[in-house]
Amino acid sequence: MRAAKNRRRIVSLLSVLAAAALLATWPWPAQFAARSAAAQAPTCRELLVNGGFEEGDTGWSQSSAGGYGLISDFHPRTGRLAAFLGGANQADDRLSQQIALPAGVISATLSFWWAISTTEPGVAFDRMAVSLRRPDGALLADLMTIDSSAAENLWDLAEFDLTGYGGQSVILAFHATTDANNATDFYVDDASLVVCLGSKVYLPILLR
Amino acid sequence: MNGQMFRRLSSVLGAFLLAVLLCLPALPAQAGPTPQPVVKFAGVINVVPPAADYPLGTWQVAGRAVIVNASTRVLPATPATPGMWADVTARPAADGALVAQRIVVMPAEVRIKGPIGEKPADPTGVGTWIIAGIPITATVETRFSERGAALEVGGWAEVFATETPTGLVAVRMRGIEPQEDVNVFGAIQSFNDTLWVLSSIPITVITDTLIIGTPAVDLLAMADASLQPDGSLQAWRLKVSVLEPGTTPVPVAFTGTVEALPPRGLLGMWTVSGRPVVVSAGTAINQTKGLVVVGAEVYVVGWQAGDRVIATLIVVLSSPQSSGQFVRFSGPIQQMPASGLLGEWRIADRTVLVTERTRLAGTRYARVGARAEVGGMQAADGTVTATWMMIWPTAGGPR
Repeated sequence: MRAAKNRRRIVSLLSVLAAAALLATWPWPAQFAARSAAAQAPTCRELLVNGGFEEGDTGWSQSSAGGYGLISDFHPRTGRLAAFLGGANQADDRLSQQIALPAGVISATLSFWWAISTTEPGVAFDRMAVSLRRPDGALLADLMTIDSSAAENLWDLAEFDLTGYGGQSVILAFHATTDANNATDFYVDDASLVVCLGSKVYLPILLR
Repeated sequence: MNGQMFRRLSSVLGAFLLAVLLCLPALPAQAGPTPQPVVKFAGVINVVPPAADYPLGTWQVAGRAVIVNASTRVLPATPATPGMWADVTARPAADGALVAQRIVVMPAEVRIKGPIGEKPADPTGVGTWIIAGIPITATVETRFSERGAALEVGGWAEVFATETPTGLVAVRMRGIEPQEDVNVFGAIQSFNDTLWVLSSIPITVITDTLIIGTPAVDLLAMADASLQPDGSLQAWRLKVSVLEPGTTPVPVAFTGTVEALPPRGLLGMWTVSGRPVVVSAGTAINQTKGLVVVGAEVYVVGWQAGDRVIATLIVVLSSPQSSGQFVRFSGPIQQMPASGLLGEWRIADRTVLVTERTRLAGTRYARVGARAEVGGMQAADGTVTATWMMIWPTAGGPR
């Protein structure tokens, strides 16, 4: 009788432990993320160099088929300078920065503000692709494509979770192309890649 | 209830709760009543919540109360102030109040695309510019870009400017290719059957002007207009930035192939991938990527009226008749067809073919010596098939 009771207790305890493990490792939606974050003591830092472009092209590599510079004071969102790709017909403009994402990141968030101005008639003729690439140039991920059908002159915030790229060197690349007429300006400003390092702590689940 | 029953009940309840918990991530997308249709509009911000609560609370944009709650995405995070502009996406709640899903705050900058009539003598660009007949002051703070085109008299510019008590002051200005129409985007300050004022810029309205959306003071609107010889702007299309299901027509946009065109010209009934499309004088037809012919692939924007689509914009995406380069140029008319307007013209030392499908403006000024601006496809032999042509009475054109 006593042995049977003990067995039941052990089975119950094991069930509780299994449930706790399941709860702790389940991929919870965003509304639960804050609760998880509160249980960690991360150290966070900015990895992108000169994300606001205030130091000109420091940290960035740029090339332009038209031969113009891609860092400009024409339309900054904040500060004095911003990236300005396109703006001419047959543009083929590239702006990139290589970043080493440390291993063990618990979060890595890329963000930047973007806006367009165009004389295209609301159709996606001109485009700016934002991608992640390996150091050899191979594509890792297409993050987004902004095109000339977007609403004009509205600064919008783009955000991406790059946590899965921890431990890798990646290139953040902006590539704008325009067709033969009706040029589109693509503006980028206040880019940031914040990584947080720390170890995950699983809080015990108390059952009464 | 004995202990065993209690334990069994607890186990069943526990399992049920666990199952519910595990299913939670999938639930929100399926739960709730059918959402109300989205209302979109853009206008002048009249009232924002107090700084302590910002951005939460009741905003007033273009005279409409909009509730901002914790689910609303407000961009940017820096506080908006009355007088700025906002682009609002909202849903009506059960009590009729508008609850914002997204608000994008933007500076109150009127936008003008038009020909440069005058520019200051100062090489830095500081001084008074005349663009689309409108005086605009450039200061040392004004930023310029000539990446797309030179900012020269006779060329075109896109200007972003703020309204001040002394007139419009340019924030930034860029050179653009000449367009078919002058374009003004601003806040409606007044409107009646003959005149609208957008951010201090008067726009003449005529019977043929196509008005899309219901105007109201402080809503933003875009005018496609032509510059008249006296320097005034006459709208052929006015589009109010408001989309309100139930009160504004059902918008429609699709891509298709042109299967039939009117027997003469472009105005009338088209068939695009089996759908009847009504094209009127108020329809903007963009042929910069190719000419409108049967077989062309087009993007149609408009609204549904029964089985027909009333087109407001048609853009040629590709065309069997697109061999060549789209060109725009202006200059004196050197030669005209022997009779009528259709046929071969000589303009600025180029041969220009005007067809039934060329959109013509200012034809009453057509004579040798007048100035014409032409857009069209240039073939390998240099002949330009005009898609549009504007004619002014003097060689200099309007300012």
